[in-house]
Amino acid sequence: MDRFKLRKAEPKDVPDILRLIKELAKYEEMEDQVILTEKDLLEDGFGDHPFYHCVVAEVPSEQQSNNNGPVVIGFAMYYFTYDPWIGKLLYLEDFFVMKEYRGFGIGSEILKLLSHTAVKTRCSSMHFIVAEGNQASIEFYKRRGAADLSLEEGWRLFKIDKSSLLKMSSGPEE
Amino acid sequence: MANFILRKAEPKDVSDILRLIKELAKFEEMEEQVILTEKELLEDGFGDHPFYHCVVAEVPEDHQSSDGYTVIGFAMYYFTYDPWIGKLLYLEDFYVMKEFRGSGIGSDILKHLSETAVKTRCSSMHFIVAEWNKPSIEFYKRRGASDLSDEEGWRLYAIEKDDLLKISTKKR
Repeated sequence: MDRFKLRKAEPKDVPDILRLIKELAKYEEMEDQVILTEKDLLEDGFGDHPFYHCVVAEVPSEQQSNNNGPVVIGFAMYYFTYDPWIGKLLYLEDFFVMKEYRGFGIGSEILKLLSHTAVKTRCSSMHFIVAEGNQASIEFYKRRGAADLSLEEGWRLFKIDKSSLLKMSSGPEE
Repeated sequence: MANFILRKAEPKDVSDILRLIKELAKFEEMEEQVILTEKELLEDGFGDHPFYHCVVAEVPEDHQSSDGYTVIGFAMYYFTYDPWIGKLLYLEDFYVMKEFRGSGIGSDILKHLSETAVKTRCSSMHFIVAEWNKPSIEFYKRRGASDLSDEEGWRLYAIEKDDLLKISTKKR
């Protein structure tokens, strides 16, 4: 299987993007946590101000037994972030190739495309998070030069959830 | 002393923003790592497509800092996207000049950011903190922050430019 195509996602890809997001979440045993809808993805990704960008990998129809057109079998979601010391960065948020299509270099090609995008848009670096238990992914990235900033610089990711945000935004003056 | 205002940054604030970025970097003993210029901050923050947003804290002229500045604190943030829940507000930098701390300016900045997050329909605010930075960790935990690196095992990775170039030009 060596005929696949990578391209920028279009509005019509939104159902496939959501399907693959859920498949990746299922793999992490978190499928019920995906509350995003196709409508959200459409507004947020294809409106005046996109909050994310996607590339999709598709294979031709004749390699699928029950479909007429090409089928989307992998994707990467990314957006641009900003480092106050160096400027623009490309942030890789989600990255998934369907199980039966792995081992053909599709993941490598996606990462190559993202690297090219990062360089072309004058980003200094590509950042992303990986779960510490995910050895396969860690190796995949380390082989390509990735460094663990949590290890080297001691960074920990924090969040303040909506309920706490609401508390803070409506609370009394300190 | 609690006489200050918070406002959205404007193009004229770019030199103050850079000054405060360098001051924070100096505090982390990394000042020479700041290679960003005023020109880049201007293009990247105030062009057609802003890559970051800033709020600044300003004091009146008669309360200016010992070195003559009225912009004495800032927060830099942007919007990120969680594939499970959608938009998030990401707090990138957050700093108040030493002589102006203890007056609630930091709390007010965070309150302003929380309002912004809720107003723009973000599900959460994310940010990173160095594991040794106890005062900051406590500041955030008091306001409901949880450590996702601890709870979910996330580690931050980077692929730097020279490796990106290598990857992007490698033949299959």
